[in-house]
Amino acid sequence: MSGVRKVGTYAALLAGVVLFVASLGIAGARLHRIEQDIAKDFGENVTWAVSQSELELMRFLAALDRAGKTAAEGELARRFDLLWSRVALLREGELAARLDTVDGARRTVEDAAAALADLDPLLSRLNPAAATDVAEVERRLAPLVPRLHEAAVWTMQSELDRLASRSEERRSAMLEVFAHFVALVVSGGVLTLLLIREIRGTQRLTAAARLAETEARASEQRFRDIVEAASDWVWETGPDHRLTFVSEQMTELSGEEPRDVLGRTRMDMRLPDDGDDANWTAHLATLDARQPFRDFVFPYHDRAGRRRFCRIHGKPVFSADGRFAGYRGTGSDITERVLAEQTLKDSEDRFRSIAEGVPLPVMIARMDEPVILFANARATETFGLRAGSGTEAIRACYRQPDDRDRLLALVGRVGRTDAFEAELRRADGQPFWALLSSRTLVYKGEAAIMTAVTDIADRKRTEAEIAQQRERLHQSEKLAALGSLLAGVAHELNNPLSVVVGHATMLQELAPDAASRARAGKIKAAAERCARIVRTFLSMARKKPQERGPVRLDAVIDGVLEILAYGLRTSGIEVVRAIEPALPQVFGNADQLHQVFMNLIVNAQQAMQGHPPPRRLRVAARVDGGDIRVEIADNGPGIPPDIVMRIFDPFFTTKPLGLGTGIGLSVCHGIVEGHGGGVEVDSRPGQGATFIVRLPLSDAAIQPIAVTQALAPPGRTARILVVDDEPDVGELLAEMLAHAGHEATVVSNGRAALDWLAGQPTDLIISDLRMPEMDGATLYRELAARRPELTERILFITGDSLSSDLMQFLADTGASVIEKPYDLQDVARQVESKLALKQLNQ
Amino acid sequence: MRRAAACFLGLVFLLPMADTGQAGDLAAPTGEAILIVAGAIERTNDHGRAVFDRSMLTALGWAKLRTSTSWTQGVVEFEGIPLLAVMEAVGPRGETLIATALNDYKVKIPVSDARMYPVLLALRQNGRDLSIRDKGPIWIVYPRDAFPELQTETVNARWVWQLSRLDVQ
Repeated sequence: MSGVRKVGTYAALLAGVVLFVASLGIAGARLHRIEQDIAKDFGENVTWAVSQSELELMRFLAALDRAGKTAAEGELARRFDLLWSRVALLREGELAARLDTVDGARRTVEDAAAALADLDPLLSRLNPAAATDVAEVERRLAPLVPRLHEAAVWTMQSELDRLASRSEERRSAMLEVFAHFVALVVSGGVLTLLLIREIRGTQRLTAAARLAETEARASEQRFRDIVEAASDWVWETGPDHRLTFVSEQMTELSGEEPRDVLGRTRMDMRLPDDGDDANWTAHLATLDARQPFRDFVFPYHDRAGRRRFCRIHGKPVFSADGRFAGYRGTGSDITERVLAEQTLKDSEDRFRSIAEGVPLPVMIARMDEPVILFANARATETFGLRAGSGTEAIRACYRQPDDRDRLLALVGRVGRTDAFEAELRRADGQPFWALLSSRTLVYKGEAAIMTAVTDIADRKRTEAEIAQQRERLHQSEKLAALGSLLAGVAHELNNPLSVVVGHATMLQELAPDAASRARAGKIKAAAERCARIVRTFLSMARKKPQERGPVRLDAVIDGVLEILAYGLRTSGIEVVRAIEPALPQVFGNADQLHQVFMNLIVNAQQAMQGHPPPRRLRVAARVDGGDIRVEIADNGPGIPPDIVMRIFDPFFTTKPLGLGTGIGLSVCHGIVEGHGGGVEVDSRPGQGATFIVRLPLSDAAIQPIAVTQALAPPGRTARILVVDDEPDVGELLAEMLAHAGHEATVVSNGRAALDWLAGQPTDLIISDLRMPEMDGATLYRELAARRPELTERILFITGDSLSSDLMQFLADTGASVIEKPYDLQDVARQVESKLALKQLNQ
Repeated sequence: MRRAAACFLGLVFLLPMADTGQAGDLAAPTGEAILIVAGAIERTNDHGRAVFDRSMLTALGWAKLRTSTSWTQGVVEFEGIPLLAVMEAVGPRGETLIATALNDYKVKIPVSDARMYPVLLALRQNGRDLSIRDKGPIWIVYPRDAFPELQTETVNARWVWQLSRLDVQ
């Protein structure tokens, strides 16, 4: 087909070339003819010849004019002959033919010829002197001059036209030649190219044929090499699938001898317990359908009875007449590989069972392009990760996605980590703190990172609690230290305050004028206030067991207000005290309750400090049902609703760092609840806050003691020994007792007291507990040993926060004790009761 | 004729070599002069020119030539004197001839034409003497049939009829 077309193309091209050559020849010839035609000087000649005739005629006429005068003899005849020849020439050949095409030219020439012929006989006998002859000649010839001239012009015109048209023809002929030439070049070129290609193609075909031959030889050799070196053996079966041929490689590859298997079928060799029915069924179906098969793997037992695995490929063979002749194919022994795969699978199963058994989420992710390669059930359950999860899913597990980058960087640097803490996110979005253990490893041939996750939320919580407790401990230690410092200060202040109070009291009673009495009263009041404050500090710092008893809330509140008075005043806070008179007592621990109100009032003060004036603190207390209801109200900024619920939580604080511990309100809450009461807050933002404390009334409600009476007049004179190492204190007490009508003697220590008692009858001993040489306790024990009756008459005074051994001593002996700084009335009352007791005993 | 002669006389006087012709070897013409050869020639007979009458020319040699022409029908028989004979008679010292006709036609002819071809100064055509009326008395005829290379317009222009003068340069 292609050959035919090719031949057709060649024929067409060849015909084209021939045609173009021929037409080029024709065109060239035509051009040549035109060129010749143009080049021919007929054109010029005819114009020139006509004009020469005219010229010759004029010359003749001129010669005629001169005839007989100057002209040489024969001149006229010669001119006539020349004229004749000119005209004759115009009547011959090409010139005549050309003149035929010019209007009137030929006629003019013929007329001229005729005139010349007519004049010829006349001219031969012409007498130039004869005017008539000359006139005759002129008459005939003169009119020819303009006619010949005109003929020359027309001839010229006609010639120019002819040249123009010829030029045109020449141009078109040249174009034609050029076009033919181009066509010839093109067709010739195409023909040449085709021929070259044809030649090359032929050469290529020859080369390809040579190559094919070489390759066929190489391929045969290759096939032989492959068969010899193959890892497979070749087999053939007959139509009944019995092996008819097995190549020698089989022995080498599997150890089986061909003669052991020839004549058997695969089905014969099948192991009964292979549990592979599906595989065999499909294979038998393939065989029945005479289809080719690949990768059919089956186990069998070799001669030694070992289990081996064989893999075969086969394709059906049909004889020339289309009958099925059996199968032919290759087989290989893959026992090693199957065993290796099983080992691998076992190891992987083992790994999986371990990884799945770990009670922690365990994941393996590809290192560079994060994709989960393995995730155990726990990981799927916790994070929703499973094999194949991508970057987004992995990142979603981290609350801070940067953490993953940090983990990768860390593991990439050191290869492992066991202590990477990060906040992770469960599949349900719940964040939790976790400890990540990661290792780099190669998983299925890929660089990977294995991560196990431990939930450390509990540990974190515990750590936080420990930190809180540590903080609380720190606070209480701080308070304890502060308390002991305060106790020391208070103790030191007690003695001078006792002096001030005592003297002021006496001055108030003994002063002669009312003004002095008033002043003494003011000093006394101020000193007593000091004494109360000191006593409060002491009671706060005193490590007393949490004993409960009747407590006067009004006194407690007043004590707090007094301690805080300075701070409240400087903060510009007006204190409104609205405590119901004769408030019943409550049963509780005065120190703890003191702490409650201290905290609440300090809170109120701090809340109002940042708030513009007026600042008002209202402290109210009244009986409300079975409770005493105490309200601490401020007009500060109030408490925002969102934190109202939390203010009683431990360590919740809104105060700037360092100002608050966050435990105050929590402690209040705890104490009040411990007293069977409750504390609550009523607050609206911008309208201040009111803390309401409810405490149940004591069952044995003790009515408040009536307002202090004046110092009682002395009943009778008693002999009293005052033992105190501080002279001022001792003397003050003595003076006071003397004022009360007693006889008081002061000694400075226990030994001096024993000396005094040895010689002097004494009704009452008032002794300090701490003294040099012999302290109060020793004195008591000495008296108990020597004069036991006197132990009944001892009244101890102490300014110390009672130490535990003193407490023990007092508890053991049941001795009476008055605490410094004492109220003189208190002392007087005690003295009177002691004396009364003594009298009773006597 | 006389005027033309005077004119040529003047021209000859201008030529320094013209004097050599005074002692020319050529005989003086006795009849009517029909051809004048002038210019660089060795032999002269009239003031540096060679003037020929009909008998002088025919004495130089006679030849026949049959050929077609561009101006006549069919083959024509010409008779006349070979140009070469005329050249040998005058001894040209130049290579170019300027041929002039009675009608003042002029054309250059290489002297070599005379040597290479039997160029004829024809006096007779088809057995008749050429008259002025039919391209006489002398017509230069080339053997164009025998030598096709002569069938060109250039050579056609050298077919001078009514020839009256040759100047050698």
